[in-house]
Amino acid sequence: MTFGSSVHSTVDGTGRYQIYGFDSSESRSSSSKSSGKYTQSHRDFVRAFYAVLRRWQSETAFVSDPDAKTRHKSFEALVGLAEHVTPLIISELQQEPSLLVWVLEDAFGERPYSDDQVGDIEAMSNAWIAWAERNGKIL
Amino acid sequence: MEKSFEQCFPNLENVHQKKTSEQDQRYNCIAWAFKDNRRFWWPSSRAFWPLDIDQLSELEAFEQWFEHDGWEETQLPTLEPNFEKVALFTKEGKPTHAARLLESGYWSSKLGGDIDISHTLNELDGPLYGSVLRIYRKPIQDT
Repeated sequence: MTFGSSVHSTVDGTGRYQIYGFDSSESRSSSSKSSGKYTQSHRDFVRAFYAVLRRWQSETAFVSDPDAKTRHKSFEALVGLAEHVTPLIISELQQEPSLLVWVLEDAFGERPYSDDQVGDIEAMSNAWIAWAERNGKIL
Repeated sequence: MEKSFEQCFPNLENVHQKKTSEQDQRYNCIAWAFKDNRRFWWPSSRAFWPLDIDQLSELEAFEQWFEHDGWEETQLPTLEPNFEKVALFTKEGKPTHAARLLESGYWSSKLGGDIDISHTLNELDGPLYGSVLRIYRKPIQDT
């Protein structure tokens, strides 16, 4: 499986999430002029989230094995971004139940649903929406 | 790089004419093969599986489920009166996909979390799903 080069994400040595690959005008608009060091804005995280989400969905669309889907590098990137865009993920789940529930599982190390709901993507999505409401993570 | 139908299923032609439902991530091919369009099935901690997985490999878990649910292996990939059929696909020994036989004689598949299609049995052979390992049959039960 190959990956494009428009967006790359990794965790730097400080544990902070780094995003590369945006055009220079976007980067300049978000950079910290006082320190000269680039600091990601929320807009950057949103753009990165949708870019990586599209890649994950398109490259694993026809795969049924959850473990194969979640081994994909774009899935790992989504987990890394999740904390920064949680309300956005919740908004996506409110629009349509989806496999983003697995991203939240790995990002937060929680399963806010019972064992007998595992695999019921709609119930899992609703449980994450309720979790977000309890934790102030709604847009 | 987006994975296209042509790349994943080089034997599948005119896929848009074969589409029978829109994309829906709530269920997958295994669920669809067993007539469940509400849950995502797989012998994995992330999905629904009707039996305990224990230390079984994925293929063993599938075989256990087919046996438990009353399916038997058959060599005949076509309609037989009073039997329903499911085909299990594997690649390199790992299950990848399942399809079920329709009364029309075509097979019905949910492609991962994407669309449902009807197709001939070997149209999904290829780099993603591998090929059919076994065909199972089970007497149709009146509901």
